[in-house]
Amino acid sequence: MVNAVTGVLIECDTTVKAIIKNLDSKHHFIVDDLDDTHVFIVSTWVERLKSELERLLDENAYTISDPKDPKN
Amino acid sequence: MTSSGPSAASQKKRKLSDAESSDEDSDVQLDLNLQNKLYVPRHANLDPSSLNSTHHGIGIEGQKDFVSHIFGNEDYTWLPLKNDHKSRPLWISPENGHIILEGFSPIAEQAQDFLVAISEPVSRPAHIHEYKLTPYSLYAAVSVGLETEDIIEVLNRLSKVPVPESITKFIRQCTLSYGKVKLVLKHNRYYVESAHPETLQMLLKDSVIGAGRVYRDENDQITTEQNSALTVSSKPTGKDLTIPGIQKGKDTKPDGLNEKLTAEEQKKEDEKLFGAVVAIDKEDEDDDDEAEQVHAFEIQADHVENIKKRCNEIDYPMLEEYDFRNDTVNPNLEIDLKPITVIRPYQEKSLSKMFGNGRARSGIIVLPCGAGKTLVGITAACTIKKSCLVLCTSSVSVMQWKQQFLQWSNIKENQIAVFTSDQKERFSGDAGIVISTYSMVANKRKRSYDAQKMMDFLESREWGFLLLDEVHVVPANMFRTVVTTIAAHAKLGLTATLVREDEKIDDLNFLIGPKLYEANWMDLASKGHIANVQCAEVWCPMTPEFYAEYLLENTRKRTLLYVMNPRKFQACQYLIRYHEERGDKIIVFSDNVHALVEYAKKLQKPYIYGGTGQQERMRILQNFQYNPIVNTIFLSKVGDTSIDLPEATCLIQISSHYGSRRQEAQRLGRILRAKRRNDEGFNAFFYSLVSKDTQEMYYSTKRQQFLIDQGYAFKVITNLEGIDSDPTLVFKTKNEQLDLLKSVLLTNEADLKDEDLHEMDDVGRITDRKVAAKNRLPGLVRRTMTTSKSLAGGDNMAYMEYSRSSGGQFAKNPRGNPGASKEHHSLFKKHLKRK
Amino acid sequence: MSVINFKTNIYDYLETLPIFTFQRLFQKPATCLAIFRLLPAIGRQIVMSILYVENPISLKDIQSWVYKDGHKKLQEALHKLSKLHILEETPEKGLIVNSTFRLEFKNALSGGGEHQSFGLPCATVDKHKVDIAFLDHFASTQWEAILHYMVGTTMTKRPSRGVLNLLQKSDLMNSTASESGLHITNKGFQFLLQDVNTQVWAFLLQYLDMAEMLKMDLVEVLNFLFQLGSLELGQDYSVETLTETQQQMLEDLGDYGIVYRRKKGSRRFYPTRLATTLTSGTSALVTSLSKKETGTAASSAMIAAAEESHDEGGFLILETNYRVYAYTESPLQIAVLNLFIQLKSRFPNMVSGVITRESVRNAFLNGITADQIISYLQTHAHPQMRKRAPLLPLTVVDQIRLWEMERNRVEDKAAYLYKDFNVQADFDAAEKYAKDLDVLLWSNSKQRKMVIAQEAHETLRTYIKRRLAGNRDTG
Repeated sequence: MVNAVTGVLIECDTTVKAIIKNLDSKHHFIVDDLDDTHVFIVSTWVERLKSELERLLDENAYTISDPKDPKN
Repeated sequence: MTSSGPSAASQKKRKLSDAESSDEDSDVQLDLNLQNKLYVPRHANLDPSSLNSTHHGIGIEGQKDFVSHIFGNEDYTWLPLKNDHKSRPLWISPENGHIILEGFSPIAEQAQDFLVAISEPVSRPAHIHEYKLTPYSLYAAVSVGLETEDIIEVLNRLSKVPVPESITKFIRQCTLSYGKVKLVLKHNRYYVESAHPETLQMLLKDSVIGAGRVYRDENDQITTEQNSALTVSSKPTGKDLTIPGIQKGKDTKPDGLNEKLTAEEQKKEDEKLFGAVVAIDKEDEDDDDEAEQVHAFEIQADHVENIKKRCNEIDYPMLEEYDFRNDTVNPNLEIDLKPITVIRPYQEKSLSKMFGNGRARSGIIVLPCGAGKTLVGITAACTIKKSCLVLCTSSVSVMQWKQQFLQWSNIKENQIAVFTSDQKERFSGDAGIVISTYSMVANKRKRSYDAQKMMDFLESREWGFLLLDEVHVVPANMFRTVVTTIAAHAKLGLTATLVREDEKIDDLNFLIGPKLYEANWMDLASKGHIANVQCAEVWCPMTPEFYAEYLLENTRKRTLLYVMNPRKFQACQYLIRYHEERGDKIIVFSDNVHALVEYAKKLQKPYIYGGTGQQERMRILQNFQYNPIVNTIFLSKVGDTSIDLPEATCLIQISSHYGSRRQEAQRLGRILRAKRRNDEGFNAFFYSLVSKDTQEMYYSTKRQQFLIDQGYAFKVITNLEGIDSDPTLVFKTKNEQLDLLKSVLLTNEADLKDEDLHEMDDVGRITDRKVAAKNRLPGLVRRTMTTSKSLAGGDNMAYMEYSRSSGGQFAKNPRGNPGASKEHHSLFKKHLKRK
Repeated sequence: MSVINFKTNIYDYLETLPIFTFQRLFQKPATCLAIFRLLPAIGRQIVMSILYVENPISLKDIQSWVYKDGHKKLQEALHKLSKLHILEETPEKGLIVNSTFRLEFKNALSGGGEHQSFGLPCATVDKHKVDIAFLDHFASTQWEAILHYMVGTTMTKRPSRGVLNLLQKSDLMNSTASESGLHITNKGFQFLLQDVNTQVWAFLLQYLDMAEMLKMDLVEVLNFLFQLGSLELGQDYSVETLTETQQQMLEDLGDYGIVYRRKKGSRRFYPTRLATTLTSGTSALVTSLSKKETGTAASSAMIAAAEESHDEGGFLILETNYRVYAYTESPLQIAVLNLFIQLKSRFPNMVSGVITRESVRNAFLNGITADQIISYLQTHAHPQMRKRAPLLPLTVVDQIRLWEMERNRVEDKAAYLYKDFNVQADFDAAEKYAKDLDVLLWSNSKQRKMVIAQEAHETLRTYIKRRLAGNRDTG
């Protein structure tokens, strides 16, 4: 019987895909792992996923700033 | 959070024994007395903003507009602009002593000369330069003869806005006591000398200083009869001193550049404006018009250390000057530059700062790698002509120094001795040169019999000149030990990179002396003194399998995963091949020895690391230099400094030490002296290979900051053209990649430990166990605080960097602090894309 | 994030107009001249070459005037000319200048015909005569009041209702239900990064749209705008020759700072620099006029400096170390720079800052694109920067683009996943159906899985149900 599931299709590069898989191992939001660059997830997780990704990827960015500057 | 990090790491490391280590090489003992002797003056940490209270609120309210808040306390629109501000090249921040200079101003060149003398260069790219006034920079300024009011006056002439009151105060306060008093060795007696007799009288009232004073009667005999008269003599000058290789009386004015840039009238005006600066520059040379006088009192030799310490405590640090021409006790050394040896203009300038008044000032000269620091050191030795001790960071560079002495000067071979773990020589005759490493001299424990005898010799005599190479690579403790155990009249530190947030600079300023000169990298490159370099960072995506593991693993394994990333392997192979085909000679750097060996073996290239024997090292280096088949070598951290390979024209970094800006600069330095640099259109290449989406990206950017501020630009390369079409590409199939991954994952902790120890070079062997102890000393609490916030996460002091303020990057970013785990690598890469 | 293109000239707008509108526009010599001035150089040359040729000329002949490598440009120019209906094709495939345009443009050149399309200078002396400096000041004050309002300044007076209306209509600002007042939109942020000329045109084009809605005569509006471009700065003009629509426009244009009238109902008006540079192609802006009114002795020198740097093209220095030094004292410019630069310190005539990942990301969040930042930096590059090629440090430009790219690493789309097809043929049919509808987002025939856009779910479900039912019927 044909099944249709609602959700969100995520298209991304393989690195992001690896991060998504890694997150899924703790939070289980992947509905179907389609291929290297596509994954189908539950729609409620989209925003959370994006913010997690941003957080993780931000960790690898060095921002030039003056540590003495109180505005930082 | 980090306080346990470095010390834990060093504890661990200390237990390891380096393959190359011998009895002599172990920890440095730093005794507590010594700590106390080396006290940094109070004002050394003065901050201009603390003097700026008066400005807040003055007439500001009326002028605040809706963008003022963006600038916090750095909205200086209340500073009036001078009417003729357009012809003046700089602005000064009242809050922090920052100076912003228009590099395109017709008088920029003179302004730069002046600013380098009084402030720290912050950034010097193409158009606008930034400098910063600091207590140290002002200390350096007065030590080369600039006077407080002249500094303020010239600054004011150059500034578009009036010199803010806070800055005037700051300059006065920093120069009030600094640089006013000199310790001079003259006719073998120690004198405290000053142009300000009232200062000397004030010092004499201090019980510690007064107690060391020597009184003499009319017959020059020591007497107990006290009289308060100071001896008076005329101010020393450098008029009759000849520095070898420098033609006296040569006009040092900048060549026709200015005329080209500016109209004649403008030029005249500039010269008027600049009269003061020029006068200051020349002050050292000709002050015959008014024979100024200096005053002095004599002190006993065995009180010197105490008095020095006392002067630091009361904020009157003594500058050390050596009147070598009047030293009749220490025998002269027959040494001169060979007639063919030529000194470049910037080398001359740096030497003139050292010998400006006819004596030898102690201090530090900063020149980029490849700009001929060695020759500056040798020329200084030829000027002083006394026994000389040279200390460097590795036994390889010991040999290179010796060879350079023989090449540039007429010193006889039997007058140069080498002291390393392999060789313990002495020179013949009364005077000579000894070249050794810091670790040989600083190590006090468990010396072999020979070594101990040698040390006794070094410590027993007076040295006219102590030459300290690569001063910023060496742990501060080692310095303290060396500087206090070797009796030397003049000290010269050489380095390429004063990475300014490194607090060791504080020590260096007072252990060795102020910075005498700092060259502009871009300037030297544009004049052909050092090579032009194209820098690039190559982004290598992690393969999905490596990245999946990367996300799971601990920090140490992560490092290995991003270094061993198959795409990085391939990029390395691609670049080696590309540049070998162009005829380049390539050095590949890897801090991580495991990776170094794997890469080198896979790509079938020779490699050198800490565990490579001396003979083998020399063999590989010679092959690289002279054998046309050997065009690529792999080097571990041992190659960071001092290995002189002018054949190299291309550098590839596959693994580096975290965010170390200094290491980045040092590595770049390996190609700056490229032999081919003056070939038409020649470029050297500097690549950092970085695994994308890993911590390496963070470190890579951070590492580049110093060079970026020197004006270098790192191009990001996201795609190497045609890399996948190479049939010989390594790890091309998924299976090969998985095998590599398996082997990386199987690498056990023990192997990683071995890497750590192999990575240590001569300097790295000196660990910093005592640093932890030092941090607990009450007398040093001030700096301890910042030290505990340090972070760059090195495993040894040599590479550790500090964040000076609590708001630093790392406080926010736990990634920057590997904490208790002590693995080391940061990789970074740069790359350059050719058109 | 969608990129909003600002029309940098009025072509795009004109091209949308029907031919009879052109016929009417061409009746004014001033309009012909203005359109002519807006043409690319090669287009102007073609027009001048065949203006006096009465007979159609073949394309081949025209092509023979240029070298081979110029053909592409020639083609573009010809295309433009025909879009603007200046060049027409005869049935015999010859090219000829539109007869109305020909006549009136000749008049414009020779001074014949109906002169008043170039405005009627006032015959009497203005008792309240104003000079160019006054007009410049007026123009910048008016225009910047609008920009200030957009960036949220509370210091300047609120723009007129007409301006507010236009800001909202053009989607540069919008109102939110919760708060009173208008808020700048993403499009508004992008607008701020444009040069003044582009801003003014963008504003006027919006005005044209609104004019249409207000049933104003478009041709009269356009004619007046073009006329303004040919007026002389500092001269006062009579309103007598203006149509009613055009007199009505004077008030709005006064709000923008494009024309100055001493008071409403005044019989004379002055065009400002904003007007006279409308069609000149030079981007003589007002930005450099935006002096703070400190009235200190230094300010006269400042104005000289600003004007000088303006002449040579800009006030921004961008270094390879990402630091930015901006020679400006204008709070408005500073506010604009603050959109994508982390500003650090401010002197009376210069602010310094640094471009960081963070500062650029903030700009992205406001809807500003990497291209817009780069183009702003280029447009306003200091003369010192112009001495070098490339103009901007490549590494910084690359980095800004890379920062933009890194934000777009994930694409998400609400969707339905269809799976568990028992029969390959059913899957294939459904896949083809979805593909034909252009709603197929992903599919894997082997696994018999496909993902379709959410909105197509009902349609596809119906289709599949029907097909499966059909299968049952037949099977």
